[in-house]
Amino acid sequence: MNTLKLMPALRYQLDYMVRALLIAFAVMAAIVIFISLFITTATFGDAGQVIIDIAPINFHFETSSFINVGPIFTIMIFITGIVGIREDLRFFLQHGLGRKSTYLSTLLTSLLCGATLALVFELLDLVFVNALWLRFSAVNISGLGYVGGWLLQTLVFFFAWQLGALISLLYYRMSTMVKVIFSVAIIATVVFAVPRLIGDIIDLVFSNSSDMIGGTLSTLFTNPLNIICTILALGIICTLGNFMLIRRAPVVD
Amino acid sequence: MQPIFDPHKPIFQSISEWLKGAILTGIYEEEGQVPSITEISMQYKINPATALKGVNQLVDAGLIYKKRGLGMFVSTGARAQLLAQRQDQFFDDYVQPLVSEAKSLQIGAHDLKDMVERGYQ
Amino acid sequence: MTIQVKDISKRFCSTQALDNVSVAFGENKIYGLLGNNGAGKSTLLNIITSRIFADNGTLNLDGVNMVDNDHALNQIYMLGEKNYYPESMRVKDALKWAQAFYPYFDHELALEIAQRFNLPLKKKITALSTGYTTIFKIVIALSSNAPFLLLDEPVLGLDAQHRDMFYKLLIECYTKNPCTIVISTHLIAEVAGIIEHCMIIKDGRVIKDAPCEALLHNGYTLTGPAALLDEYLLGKQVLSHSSLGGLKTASISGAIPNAEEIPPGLEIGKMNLQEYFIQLMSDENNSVARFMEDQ
Repeated sequence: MNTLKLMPALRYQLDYMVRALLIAFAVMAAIVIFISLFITTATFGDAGQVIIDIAPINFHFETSSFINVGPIFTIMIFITGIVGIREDLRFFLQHGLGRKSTYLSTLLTSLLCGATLALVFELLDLVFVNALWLRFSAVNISGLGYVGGWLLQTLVFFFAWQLGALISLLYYRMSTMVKVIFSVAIIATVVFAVPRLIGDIIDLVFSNSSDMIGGTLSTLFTNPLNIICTILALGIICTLGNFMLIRRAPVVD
Repeated sequence: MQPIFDPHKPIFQSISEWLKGAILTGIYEEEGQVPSITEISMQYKINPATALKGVNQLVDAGLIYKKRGLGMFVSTGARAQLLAQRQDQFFDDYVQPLVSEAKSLQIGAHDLKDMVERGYQ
Repeated sequence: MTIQVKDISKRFCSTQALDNVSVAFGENKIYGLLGNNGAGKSTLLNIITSRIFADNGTLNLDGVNMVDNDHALNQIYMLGEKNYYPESMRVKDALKWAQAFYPYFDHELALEIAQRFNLPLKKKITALSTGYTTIFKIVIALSSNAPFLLLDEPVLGLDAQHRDMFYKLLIECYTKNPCTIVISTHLIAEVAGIIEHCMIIKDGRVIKDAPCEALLHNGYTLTGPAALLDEYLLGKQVLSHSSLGGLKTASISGAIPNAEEIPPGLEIGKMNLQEYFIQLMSDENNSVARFMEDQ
């Protein structure tokens, strides 16, 4: 008999996330107010002609002027995935909860938080996009509609969280030697490969090229429904990886 | 009055000897209450089972009795009983080692008697 | 409820931390898990609470596998060396969450104990001193009302007064609400009176597992003139001996003989737990012999 004790774990994780997100919103609001004030006071008549793009991959096609805060939240969720999984695993083990509960609770929390945050973003977008040049959704593709946009946004958050957790757990399970090699490889990729290749990759995605890689990438990322499926598949892959990794993860330090 | 924890004696024995001593000297009077097992084990940082074992030796000997829900009390006549017991043991416990020490110090029986008399004055 | 540990082994790189350990923790008893630093005490407790995994062997709670089993883990509160609380959590929040996770957690008792020790409730756990970190863990452990309390070095960093308070409190809580307590420590003299059952662990192996009284009944000391003592010791299993001039003291393993069997001139004494432990630890040959025996 292995009775899971999910409720307290869920309560704990949701409590933490609600507080973290409220703080994030407060900070974001302060920044937005500051920027808006700056724009309206410092630029004369040209208000709104400012584009702040922080998204690693920016999906919006319109060349309009928006302050896009969505990507910041995506990154925040990603970092929560990295930090949260280890802290929660330790905390839960201290409180007599095993890895399966930790895993399931994290899965549910990431979906719940993702869905709620996406819903809030959709609503805020409805209100603010035209009024304040303020966009909340990290992704925003024409032809998806509100429900589709919400679903995609949810999945992006879910994927970001699970990817963070996957990286964290990978590090957790690696030996020191492998950790060093892995870290060097990642840094090398980010510093040298990404800046050179990112343009090529984006070109490849939108080039309608017919060669195999370009073709596949185009199919996966251009059609709205395909994007949803791709992100969902990536999220599920990370989730499965997390399950394999957390099952035998030792907690020592 | 503290129990003397002789490291070479079982703890429960130290407890029972301490309690007997306390009854004998009148710290716990007849029909008066003695500390509970919890109090004893907390005070001397010993396992409650050990304290119980020590106290039960006195219960078995009829020196103290339990009142349900109230605690443990010293039996009437416990002091007299202990006094008689100690008097019986006095020769073995005190006189014999005294004499053997006196012998090793080459103190004769007569000198020892003198000393005992001096002690009484 | 009984925790049954069977044939547990654990290896860290080049060290065998645990080597075929089999022990059982029964209901409502106070156990002492004694051993020097690095003997494998913490490793055993960490394996029981699924923090780390054994290389082989089984762990059962009433016959049910307890590895990463929430039902089993929730019966245990472990006071460990490491701090498993998030960096920003405050003491009072930790108490609140302990209540959410442990169904029988006594919040009022926790506040009362915290007050007795002057534990600041509003401070962050990570900002507490070593001593107060231990006190914080003690507060939660004693209020958890879990059927099993595993206390790994429960007086780490505590001063004499707080240690005294802790031991009294432990007994108070234990008599009010009996549970199984496992105290893992190398400070044997302090817990000698409290523990009922002794498990002595050395180099990853449990070398003694018996009620304290039986253990101490199985050894004694003899003191007397060297020549006389040496003669008597022939054929006896001597744990250790020391001499001061012509006077010699020996610790002997085995049942305590009757007074008549001891030649006059030799004085018999009982060993206390600490002496027994020290002698057991310093006794290399004996453990090697036992090791060979087991092979």
